[in-house]
Amino acid sequence: MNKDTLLNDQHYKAYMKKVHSMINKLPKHDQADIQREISSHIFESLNNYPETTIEQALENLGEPQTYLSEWVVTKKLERAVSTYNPFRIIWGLITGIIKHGAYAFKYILFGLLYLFTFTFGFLCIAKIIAPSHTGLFISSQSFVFGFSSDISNAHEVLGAKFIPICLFITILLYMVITVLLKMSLVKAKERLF
Amino acid sequence: MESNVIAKWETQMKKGTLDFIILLLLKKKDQYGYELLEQIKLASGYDISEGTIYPLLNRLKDDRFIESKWVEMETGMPRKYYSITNSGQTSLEKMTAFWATLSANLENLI
Repeated sequence: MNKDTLLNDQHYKAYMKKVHSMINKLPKHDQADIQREISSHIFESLNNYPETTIEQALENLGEPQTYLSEWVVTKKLERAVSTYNPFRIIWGLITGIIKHGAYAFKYILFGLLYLFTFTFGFLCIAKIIAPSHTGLFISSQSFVFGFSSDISNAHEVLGAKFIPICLFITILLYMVITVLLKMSLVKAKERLF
Repeated sequence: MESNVIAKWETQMKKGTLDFIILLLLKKKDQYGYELLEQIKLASGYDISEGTIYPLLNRLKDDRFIESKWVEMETGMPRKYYSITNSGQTSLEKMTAFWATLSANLENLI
């Protein structure tokens, strides 16, 4: 089989389109590398067994979804986690939830943990906007940490320390959850085959 | 029920030995993905889905056990050749020693 025959084949083009849709969230360099390697694999498989049709070669390789989805999500999240960039991590988790059914629950769980973490960050902003309604309020029957609209029978005890405490909790939780996510990705990679 | 348990066990065995087999094959010579896949099938008899080898090779690369380079071919379609690194060689020696002990011990049991 010559290279041009393969590159112009309709089945091959459709397959590579599926591959592209799986990997289009990766950096351009990785996308090109994966596409090149898959093309090379198909080409070698056709040349090693000339009686094989392109359709059979593609079938032997498997649906891109089955071998690429977990790999792509893990790779994307791994990069995001190594930068500790919250936007990249959240975007990676969203990709994981959408593109990878098997681990969607795990990624939703991590998403909720991050949401819980960011709540403490939002409380810092709330303290600046509504200082008298944000803090640690203690009354005779209960206490509230955060925002409270009714503060008539309670007094706030943290005062100016509220923002540093919330920031500290946010950073601590963020680091712990990110390390846990990192560890879970190592395990996911071990199960890749 | 029993066949399920055996199938699971076989999958675990394959998972556990594939890294070892790949490193052993790459120790002999540098190989490209498709060639490696054929060699794995030949050496182990494992019937593995072709596409799954690439995430596995990628993981071994991330672990710095292997490295790769593109080689242009006369056919016009380049090949990505994988080779074992020094760190891979060291790990392979440890794996080989462990395997020798394990198989000798199991041989006594069987």
